[in-house]
Amino acid sequence: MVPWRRIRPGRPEQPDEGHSARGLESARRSSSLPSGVFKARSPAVEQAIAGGAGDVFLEHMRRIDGALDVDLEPGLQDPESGDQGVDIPAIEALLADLHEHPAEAAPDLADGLDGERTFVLVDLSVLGRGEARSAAVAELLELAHDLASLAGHDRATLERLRAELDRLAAADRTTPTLNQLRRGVEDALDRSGGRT
Amino acid sequence: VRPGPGTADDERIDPRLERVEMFAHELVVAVVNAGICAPSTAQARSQLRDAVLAFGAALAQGAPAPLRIEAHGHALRWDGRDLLGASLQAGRLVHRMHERGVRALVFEPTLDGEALGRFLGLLDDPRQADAFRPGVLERVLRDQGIQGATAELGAPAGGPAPQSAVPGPDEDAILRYQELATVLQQSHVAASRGHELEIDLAQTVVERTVARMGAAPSDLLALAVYDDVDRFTVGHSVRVALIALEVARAAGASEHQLLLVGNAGLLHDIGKSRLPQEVLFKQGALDEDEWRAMAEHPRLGAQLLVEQDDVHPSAIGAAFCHHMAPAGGGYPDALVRFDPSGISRLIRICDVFEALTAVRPYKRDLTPLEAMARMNRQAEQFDRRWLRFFFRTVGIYPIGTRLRLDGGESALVVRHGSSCERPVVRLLTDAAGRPLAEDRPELEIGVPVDGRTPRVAAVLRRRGGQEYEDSSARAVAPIHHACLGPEPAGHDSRPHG
Repeated sequence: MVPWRRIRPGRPEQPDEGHSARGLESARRSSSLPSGVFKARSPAVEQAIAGGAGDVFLEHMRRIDGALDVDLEPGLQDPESGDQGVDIPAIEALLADLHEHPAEAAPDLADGLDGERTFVLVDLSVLGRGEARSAAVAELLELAHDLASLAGHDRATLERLRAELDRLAAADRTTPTLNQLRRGVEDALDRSGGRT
Repeated sequence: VRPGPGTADDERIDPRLERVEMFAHELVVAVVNAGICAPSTAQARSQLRDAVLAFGAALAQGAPAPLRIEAHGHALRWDGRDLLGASLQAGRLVHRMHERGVRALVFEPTLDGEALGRFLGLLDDPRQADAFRPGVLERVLRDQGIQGATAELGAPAGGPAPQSAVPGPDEDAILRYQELATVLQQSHVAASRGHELEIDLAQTVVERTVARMGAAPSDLLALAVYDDVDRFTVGHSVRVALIALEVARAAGASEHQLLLVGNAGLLHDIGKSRLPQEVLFKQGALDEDEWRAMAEHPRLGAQLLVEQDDVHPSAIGAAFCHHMAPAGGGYPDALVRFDPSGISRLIRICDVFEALTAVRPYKRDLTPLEAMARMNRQAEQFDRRWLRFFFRTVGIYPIGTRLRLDGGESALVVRHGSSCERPVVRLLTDAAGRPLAEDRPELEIGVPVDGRTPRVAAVLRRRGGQEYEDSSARAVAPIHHACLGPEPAGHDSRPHG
């Protein structure tokens, strides 16, 4: 995991001559710093205090947002690129790619929806937990006995599904539910024109 | 990090406003926390302490005490200025203020974390609604030992913010955004507690969002740049949903498909609510076991959604597949190999783009162009056709982006021009920072007009309620130069995307 790169936002803190002693009192009571520090009243101390509160805020934001960035794939994470991370050749390649496909139609949002649902259910019926696993098993069993629904999958999806179920069986990772689904898929393929 | 040339930014930058907005952020998170964890938990206490520290920092920066945070329409406001970033996830707080007839929250320097917790609890507790009456509030606060926090009673004000050089979003846009964030906050809270999700409510909110998009396609998305409060990745998911809706709309999606895309975007990260808190909120790098737990969040999300009634399979699929690469790879380690659906492939792209470009206090947020270039470099991780369609739709300078032009003016991207690298902009201020009339003719970047070819010098960014040009802005001009070629470009000097 690449460590966080932290870049402080905003301009350097400017100590305010007219600072609020009450604000310092509040910070003193909330801070783990020795209380004597807060009696100094020097601009440097004020700056440290203001910066310290900012640090706490930044740490807080890092904590609550951390999960957003750590789940990016390593190739997409690149916090060390920092200010030098502007990759002009990559941008030129991007623009060239766009210009090479000037009138490309939008892909289909609905593409693969049925197949995705079935594959996810297969996964959850084995690796899911508790209620989710039960729900996935129930849906798959229903699907296995509903040839009309299975026939709603395109042939390529059915063949892929059959191949994956066979692979699981060969690896001794199949289940009674998946075996029933396998038979249903076979029937659906037969009805749609036999095995390919 | 430095303010840009000209005086507009210099005048706008007020360090007190930045600190007050940070305090407002902390208040908003504390209120959201109140729905998640008991006041006595370490997390709640830590958040209250953070809020008090942010309050102290605002005072130390010169914000006058007592400090008043007003509810103004659907927004939070300080000193007559909207705290837009904090407002976007403040639906619950603002709603409570309206319900209780609280015009402003007032904080004194004697505020401490315990008192703030009790005060926010009082405000949030419907059984204590009677406390917010004239003549009663003072006694209740005294009885509960709440010092340093009180409420100014009276109907919250409404109406637009004072005129500024920068056009702000309208009230309805803020409300719609808050609705999305609030329903997602509630869903995450319910999920983390093992309760049933309010799927119907989420769908209703997405329907309203889609309905609004028909009239004004991009103002909700433009709000996203202000949203740097987050809790359980709520802001991230709202932004992913909004980006995905824009792209799906451009792809010619039916209204039904838009609803599916909006729901899938909103719920794609719901599995994170089932991650152990020590993993989700860990500071620093995850170890191998923690990473393994993190990599399970797509499956956890799909499980959570399968357990609910009436969740469309596309949302379940997107939750499961939004980290899967089309040719295999990514995670979770699925039992079977398969191709994600079109909706899941779109959500994946929006998810990564949002994470790379999001404003985060601890990292440099990439410009959309940089993020796109990085994603293009890793194009095998995505469906290439969706990736190109995404780039073309969002544009190198997305609608709502604020730019500094090479003549020193600031400008707002209002639509895409003849290609994705040539946005059409409306000038906001002249080089001296003076506001310009809204009816001035729009300019297309890179297209000569009146003997001058307008070019982009920098992308303006926001953080902590302030606008600035970060140091990466120095690299924007050469990027733009690379985009448009070395000579002033005519309309047809390059093929159009």
